[in-house]
Amino acid sequence: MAKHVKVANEAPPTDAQIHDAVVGIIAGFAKKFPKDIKDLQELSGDLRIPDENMGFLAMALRAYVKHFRPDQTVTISEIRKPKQTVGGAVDVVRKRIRA
Amino acid sequence: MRPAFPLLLLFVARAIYGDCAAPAPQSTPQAATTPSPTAKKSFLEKWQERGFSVHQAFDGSRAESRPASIAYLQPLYSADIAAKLAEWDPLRNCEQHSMPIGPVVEWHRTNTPKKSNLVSAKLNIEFFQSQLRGFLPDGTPTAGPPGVTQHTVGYYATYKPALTEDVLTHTISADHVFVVSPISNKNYYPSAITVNAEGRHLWRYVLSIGAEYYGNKDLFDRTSTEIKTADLTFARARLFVVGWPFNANMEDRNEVSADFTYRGRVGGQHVLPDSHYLSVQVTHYADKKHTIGVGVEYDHGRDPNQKFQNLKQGKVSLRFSL
Repeated sequence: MAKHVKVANEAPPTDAQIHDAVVGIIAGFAKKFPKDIKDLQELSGDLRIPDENMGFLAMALRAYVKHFRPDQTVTISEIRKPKQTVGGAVDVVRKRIRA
Repeated sequence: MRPAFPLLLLFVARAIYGDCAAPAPQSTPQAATTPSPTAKKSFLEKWQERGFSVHQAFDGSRAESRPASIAYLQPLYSADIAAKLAEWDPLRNCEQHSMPIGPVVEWHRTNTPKKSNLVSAKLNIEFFQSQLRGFLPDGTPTAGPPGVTQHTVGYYATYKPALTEDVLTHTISADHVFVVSPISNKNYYPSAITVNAEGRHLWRYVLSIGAEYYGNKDLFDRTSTEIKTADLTFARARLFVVGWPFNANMEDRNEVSADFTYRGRVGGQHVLPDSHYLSVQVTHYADKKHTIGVGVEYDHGRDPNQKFQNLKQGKVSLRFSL
């Protein structure tokens, strides 16, 4: 059962590092350069990430969180919820890593 | 026909007894943090975080990504509204897959060519497989989460068992829809938005295959005669294509789409022929977030949401999204 259970062995990232990492991941799903991604942009409304792809985006953010905090997670509904913004997604990830 | 059940049970069992269980909470040294303002959330926002959303339908078609619709048809009307109430994910601790499950209520009504008024309660079960690789507009792969194997193509499956009441005849049918699609972020691949070098959206297509079972269903048969309590199983294949012309401001306000589904009967009664359903839409959204739009639509073929009526109709519709 425990073959995939990881133990965090890295110092937690700073807020700026979390922000850059999350924006970098979102950029790859929004098909935009990271410099064009703004915190207030909505993942669905502004960046137009398709619903199906949004589920995979949530899984990518989940994997990033679990790299530092294997006991924490990110759910698809948290990321796919209407009007979720880039800043909101960064906040979800930051809170889970700091939990 | 309920082929998805064993598969889904396998995944649920894997989540409960498998390798996705979250380890015990641990303490982590705190890095320097910038406190973020915690805005008070509204009632609606709290429900949205739990998975509440409103769309045109949750039926495995492109209606899932469209706003709910109330349309006027000379001077009658149709309505297509679906609300997903919440979401729970037994695989929420897995990195390579996820399975959100949520109850859905739907209402589909039309007055032409024949009256149809259907209310459904269903379970929306989605399954996501693989970590997807992201791509920049110039085609460069983005850095993913550390220590995770990424793939150019992932797989997305949905299974939707439903109970549907025909309000006009007071009969209840049991429907099952199972669909699988390949998903990618890479230009020209399925489900990926293909962009130019600046990041302007050009077009996107989605492919899927699946199966549908309708039990005790009231429907309009090949002679457009309404028959009751039919049992039918279809294999289905679908191609959805959408493009965004005149998109200089990169807001995708003009949208042209075609959704084609082919259904071949593989079991049950011989009351319907193999059939297609094509829906072509042109929509202009009033805002860049696509919350309100006006569209024209032409539907051709048999729509399961309208009791398999053989439709040939155009309509002007107002679209809204919560």
